[in-house]
Amino acid sequence: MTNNHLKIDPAVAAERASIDILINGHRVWSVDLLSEPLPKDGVKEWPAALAPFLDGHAEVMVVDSATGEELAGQSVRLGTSQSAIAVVDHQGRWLAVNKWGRMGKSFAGAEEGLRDRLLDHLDDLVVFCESRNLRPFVVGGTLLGAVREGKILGHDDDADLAYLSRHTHPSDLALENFQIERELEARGIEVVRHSTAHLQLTFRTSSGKVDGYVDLFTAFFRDDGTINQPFHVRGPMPEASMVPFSTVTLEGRPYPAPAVPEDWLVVNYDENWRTPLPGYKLHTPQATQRRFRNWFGSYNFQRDFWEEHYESGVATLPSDAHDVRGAEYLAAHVTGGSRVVDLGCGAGSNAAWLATHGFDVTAVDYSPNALSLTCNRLGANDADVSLLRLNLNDFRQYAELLHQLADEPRPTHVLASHLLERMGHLGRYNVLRAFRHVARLGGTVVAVIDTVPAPDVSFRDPSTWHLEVSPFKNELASFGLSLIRPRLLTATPRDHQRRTLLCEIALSPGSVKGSAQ
Amino acid sequence: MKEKILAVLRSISPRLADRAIRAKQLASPTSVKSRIHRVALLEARVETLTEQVRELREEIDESRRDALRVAELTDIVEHRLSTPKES
Repeated sequence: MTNNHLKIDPAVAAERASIDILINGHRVWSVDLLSEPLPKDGVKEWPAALAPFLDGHAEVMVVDSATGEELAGQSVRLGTSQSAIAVVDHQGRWLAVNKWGRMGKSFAGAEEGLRDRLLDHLDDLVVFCESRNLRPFVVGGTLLGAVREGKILGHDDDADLAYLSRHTHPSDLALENFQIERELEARGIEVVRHSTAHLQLTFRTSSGKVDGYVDLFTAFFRDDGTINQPFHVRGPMPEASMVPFSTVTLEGRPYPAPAVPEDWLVVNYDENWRTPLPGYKLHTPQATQRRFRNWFGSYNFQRDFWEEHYESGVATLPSDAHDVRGAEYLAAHVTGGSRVVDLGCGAGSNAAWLATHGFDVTAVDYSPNALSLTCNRLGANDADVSLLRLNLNDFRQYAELLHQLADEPRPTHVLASHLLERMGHLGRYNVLRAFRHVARLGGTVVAVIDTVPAPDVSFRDPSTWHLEVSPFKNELASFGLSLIRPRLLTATPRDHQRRTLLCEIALSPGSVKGSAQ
Repeated sequence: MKEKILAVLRSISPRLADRAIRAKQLASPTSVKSRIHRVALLEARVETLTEQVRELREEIDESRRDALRVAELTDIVEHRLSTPKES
C-alpha cells in the first residue's frame, strides 16, 4: 500500500460482488467488482478525493460488502504525519467516497437520531405532495433500502422521493416544479434547485450546519412508453408497473412505492439491484444526460466544490480569495458611497473592503458557506453589507436581480472578481446579460479574470480554469459589450502565472440596445 | 511464363486459377487507384455525415433548451402579474 494505490490479492476478491475498504474501522471506500473487476495485478489507485486524507498511520481492512467478512488487513504508515488517519469532516464525522467520487457523509457514520429526523422530514414531504395531488413515491436508495432490507442503507446519505406528474411537456413540468418550490419555501424549507425536475430540501442543525437532505424528483411518462425521472432514470416501463402505488416499509414506516418496485429498480440500477454494491455508480447514458440537461437545466454547476472550498474557513483559502484589487479599482472609478453588487462574492474580501470604504454593498453568491464566511468577515471588519443568496445559473433568480437593479434610483456598479472564468458558459451568459443591464442603467462593471489555466488545471477545480481573452471578447460582442481598459496585473507571482486581467466591461459603441441574445 | 504457371494451376485446380486471375485484376494499378478513390470518397462522406449529426445534435439541444427558457419566462411573467404592486 502506498499513498497512490493499494494492492489487493485478486484471489481474495474472487467471486465477490463488492468489497469495502475500512480505515481504522470505518468504511471509506467501496469497490463495485461487478461493474469494475480488479485488474490482474490487484492494484487500485486511491480515489482522488480520498488521497489527501491518507497521511498518518492506520489499520486498513478489506471486507466483503455483503457479509462483512474480513478478507485482508494491514497496519500501514503513509505520508509524514505521526497521527492516526481520520477520514472526517470539520465536525469530526467520518466520510466515505460517494457515488459522485466525492467525500460524503453516510448514515453508517452518523448518530442514530439522524435516520429518524430524516424520515420525519420525508413523512412531511409525502403529506405535502399528497395534499397537492402530486402522487409521491419513494425512489433511489430509499426504495432500494425498503425493498431489500426494510431499512435505510448504511452507505446512503439522504432520502429520495419523487412525484408522478400528470404533465409530459418539459415546460409544463418546470412550471409545476417552480410552484412546488415556492410553496416549500413558504413553509420555511431551504430548497436548492438542481434542475426544473429535481429539488433538494436541506435541513440544518440549530448551529446552521447541514443535518440532512431529502431529494424531490419529478417523474413522468412519455408517449413513447418511457418512464422519465431526471437526472438518471429513462427507460421503458409499463404504467401498470407504476400505478396504482404499492406500499413498502422503511424502518417500520409505510411509504408509497411503484406498483412493481422491482421494475423501477431495474430501470434505475440494473438486474443486479438485489446484490449490495455500496460502490455502485450510476452511469447515465450520454443521450439521456443531454436530453435532461437541456430540458430541465443544470443549476448547480460546481456548487458542491465551492461549498467544500469555503467550508474550512478563511485561513485555508488561497491568495485569490483575499485579493481586493478589483474593489480598489472600482472605488477609484465610481462616485464614493455608490451602490455596488459583488457578484460571486466568495469569502467576501472585496465586499468587506468596499463596505469599509463607504460603499453600499450587496454581496451575491450561490454558496451558503461563502455567504457565511462573508458574514463572519463583515463582523470582523465592522462592515455592513446586504447578503443575497442567488444562483446566477437560474434565469428566474437572475431576472429578480435585474428587477431590483432597475428599481434603484441611482446607478448600480458591479464587481465580478474571478467569477466569469469559473462558470459554465450558460451561466456566464446570464452574467453578461446582467452586465449589459447595469451598463444601460449607467453603471460601471469591473471584472478580474485569470486568462491562463493553472499548471494543475482540472475539471474538478474551477479555481484552476481560465478564460482566453480573444474568445471572451467575441462572447462579449455577441451581447453588445466590449472589454475596455484591460491591464494585466503584475504584483504577485500568481498574477504572472495566471496572466490575471483587470478590466472594465461596457456597452460597445453603437450597440446601446445590445444584441438579441 | 505467367501463362504457363496459370495453365499448370488450372490443371491442378480450376477454382484456384480463377481466384488467382481475380486477385491479379484486383491488384492491378488501375484497380488499386480506383479503390483508393472509393475509400477517399467514403471518408469524405463519413466526415460530412458526422458534421451533419453534430449540427443536428446542437439544434436539438437548442430546441430542448427553448422549453426551459419558455417555462422560466412564463413563470417570471405569471409571478410578476400575480404579485400585487407595492403602493
